[in-house]
Amino acid sequence: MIDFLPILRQIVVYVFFLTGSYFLLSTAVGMIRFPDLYTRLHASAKCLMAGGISILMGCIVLEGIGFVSLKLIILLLFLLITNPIANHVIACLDHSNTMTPNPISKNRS
Amino acid sequence: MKKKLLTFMLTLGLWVVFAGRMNIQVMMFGTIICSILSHLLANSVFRFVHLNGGPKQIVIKITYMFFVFSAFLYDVFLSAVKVSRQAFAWNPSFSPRIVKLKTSDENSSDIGIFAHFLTCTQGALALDFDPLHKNYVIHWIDVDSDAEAETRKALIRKQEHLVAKIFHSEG
Repeated sequence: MIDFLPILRQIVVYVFFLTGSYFLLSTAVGMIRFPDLYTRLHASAKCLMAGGISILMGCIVLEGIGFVSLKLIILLLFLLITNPIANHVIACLDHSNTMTPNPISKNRS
Repeated sequence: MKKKLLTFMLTLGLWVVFAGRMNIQVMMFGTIICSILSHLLANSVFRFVHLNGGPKQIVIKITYMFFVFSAFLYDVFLSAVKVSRQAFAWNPSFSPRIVKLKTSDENSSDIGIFAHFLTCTQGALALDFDPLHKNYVIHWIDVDSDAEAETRKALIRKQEHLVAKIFHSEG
């Protein structure tokens, strides 16, 4: 009889990895294509976090219950804390230097 | 002393998790580093913790935090899908706008966590916080009209109340 649990686990892992890869790729594309600093920060804040969460969740499911998974969960928590802070610091520095975002809808690249 | 001991135990726990093995050298080195960290950081870490109430209250709050955290993760993914759609669009269109949003929160943890929350959700990015006038400075990526801006502000206020409940005693 076929054991469905490992197959199901593999499918879940692939789904997480594909989702994570898509979001990480969209972060890179967004960083190149978006017109100004603030919109690029949107890409780095949201897509990078979603991609990171997906990849790490995939690793956790692949690894199963264990010590490595605990490490990955702590890494996930650190990612959740540090990514918005980094974005906030960059945005805050830029805002305090009185740069305003471009009111444009056209891609410059 | 209690604060230092708790910080020491937490940092030592993290050290053990990341070291991945237990022997006398690892534990000695960890103990030295965690002692220094707890001596330096204990006061500043606990200055930001404002949880109060009995055990029952704390259990309710932890459950509440779990729901808020789940909603936060859902929002992160929803927002990431919207941004990634723009990234791969043939002609991406943006309507960037910077707005100020007044808050009634006094609690610094509350303000920090909500700024954190804002950065990952709803096409918004927390740029700055003006402590004098209690204003969040927010950048929106896709708000076209004033009516939409008002709707967004109302939504943000609703989220702010949800986050604020974590630190208020009524839970």
